[in-house]
Amino acid sequence: MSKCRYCGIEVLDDTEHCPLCQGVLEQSGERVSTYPNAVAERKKKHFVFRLILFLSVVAGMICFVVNRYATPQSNWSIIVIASLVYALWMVYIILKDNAGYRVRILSGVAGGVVLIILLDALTGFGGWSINYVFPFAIILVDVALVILMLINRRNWQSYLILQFFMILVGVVPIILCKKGIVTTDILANIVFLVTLILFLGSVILGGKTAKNELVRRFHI
Amino acid sequence: MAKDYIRWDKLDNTANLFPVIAGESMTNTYRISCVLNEEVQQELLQEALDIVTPKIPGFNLRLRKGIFWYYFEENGKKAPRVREEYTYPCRLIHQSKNNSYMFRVSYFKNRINLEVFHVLTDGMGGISFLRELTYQYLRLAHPQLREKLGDKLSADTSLNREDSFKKNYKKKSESVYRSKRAFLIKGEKLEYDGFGVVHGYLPIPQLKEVCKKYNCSINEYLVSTFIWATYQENYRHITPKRPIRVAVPVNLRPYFDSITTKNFFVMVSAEFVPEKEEYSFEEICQITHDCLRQQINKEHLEKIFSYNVSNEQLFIARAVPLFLKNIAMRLVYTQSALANTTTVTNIGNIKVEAEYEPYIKMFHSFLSFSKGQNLKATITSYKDTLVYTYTSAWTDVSIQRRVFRQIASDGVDVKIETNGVYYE
Repeated sequence: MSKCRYCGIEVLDDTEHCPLCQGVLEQSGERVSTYPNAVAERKKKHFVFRLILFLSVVAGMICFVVNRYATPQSNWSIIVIASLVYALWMVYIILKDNAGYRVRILSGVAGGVVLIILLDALTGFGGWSINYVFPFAIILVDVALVILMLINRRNWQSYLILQFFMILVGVVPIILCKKGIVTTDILANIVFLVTLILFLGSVILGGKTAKNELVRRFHI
Repeated sequence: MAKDYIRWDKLDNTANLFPVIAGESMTNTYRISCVLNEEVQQELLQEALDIVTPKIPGFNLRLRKGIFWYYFEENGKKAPRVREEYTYPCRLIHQSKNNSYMFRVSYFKNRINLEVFHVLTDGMGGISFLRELTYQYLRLAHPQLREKLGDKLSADTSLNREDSFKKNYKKKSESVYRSKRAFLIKGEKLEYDGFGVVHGYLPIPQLKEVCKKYNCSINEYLVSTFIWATYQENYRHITPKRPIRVAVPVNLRPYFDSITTKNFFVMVSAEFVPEKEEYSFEEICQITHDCLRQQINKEHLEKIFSYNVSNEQLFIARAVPLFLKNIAMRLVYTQSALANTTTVTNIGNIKVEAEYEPYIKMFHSFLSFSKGQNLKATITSYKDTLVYTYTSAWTDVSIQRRVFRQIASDGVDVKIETNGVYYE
């Protein structure tokens, strides 16, 4: 224990100066620190992400400059930069402490779809990204949901709400079809049916468990 | 396979806000710690937590997102992992990494820390969980206690989860909330979202003497020291337009005969509006005393929560999708949060069963920050010692210094302890 003459208080910490006024303490007896030193751990984590960010920025800039001078007729550097942004996005959501695996899967796939649509647009927009890749991405998420339900059997019903959400996403290709943006309507219809069947199947086969889950999720 | 029926529950009126506003810089997590007379053993603490968690329904929960509301669902997973404390206190609790639980247990040397996401319960619920955990730990560490007392829960512990807000609100209430801005403390923040803690240990008999002199309660005296210190340090910025307002949570259970372990508190505020050039500490004590006495009575407390609860009961408001509710809640919250300079909360005197008393040295607790309030204080007492804890995100400690110097100059033996951030 030490005494601060300026503050008129005793300081229990293991220190030589007063934490309140920085005055030197009159030392006597035993002193202990009852809290861990928390700073070092935080610094490291920040640094790893910043390092990856920095390297990506440098790589993007180099590609852009090389592209402009060496092959000005094509825009390949934009593809590289977009891919880097996607990679950073993935690193970010993986490092992000509070993102659950559902958020990671959904945002990973959504980011991938956006990237691929961009690639399609940069290479003359053949429409393959929204005609094929987008519907397949929806199926991919639905397959992932089925796998997750099998793995997490104790809580399989908690994926019902995501299945419901995927039906809403499944409507998008159909709307794009009606607008004439998507040209092959067969795939859009199949995807919508798949999302619908998965949800209805879970609800009907799930019985009471599924019903109770929906009651909870939709309670007003 | 999944059970057909899973126990689930709605959030109470206050709890609805916490998941919306919680983030890394505003974690809405509070900590209550129990300091033992012996060093804590990790395996035994884990074992104690594994035994106690499933028995306390108010903690054996996970938070789920519905279309219209958040709700609790029985968790049932293995209890969260006990760790040695290694980072700043009151960090955001990531449910995805915590077996979906909304509380965290850690230890350091002689201390057991319970950190609770406020959505679960207020201080009262936190204390009863920490007490049960500590009892169980002590029974494991000292087999003679276990032989004598067995592994049952204490008779002081409530498992009641009623929504006392809903049960006690009066219809057609008007808002009594003040949303005018208060003076807000500003400064340079500690590095890396640092979290500064200063515990001040004060002997209660001496405090009582001092309070008699100022003719106020201990709570009012301690709130006054904050107002005094802030006024002295920020003299020029505190004006009738930007007064100091200290939010003081009031536990409603005694007023409404409730033993719920859900949240059941409201905020009243001690206001200091400077109307002349200079104030003495005595005058500030008197102002705080008058201001708080006016508000802490059943009728006024009832009015405060009735307005919020009656709004929540409107069907039209209930049927708004969650994400829209969240936007509205965030707006309202920001307004009301800036109406207070700080929060000073009194957890009260923590009592333990006589058999366990020889093993327990101290309890203390503190709050994390919220919007505009990066410095808060908490009062906890156990036996003859009161712990007045300041938590702050600022590097500057001049308010804490003035507070403890004032208390010391009034003749109280002040001992302080920090978490070391002010020595960097």
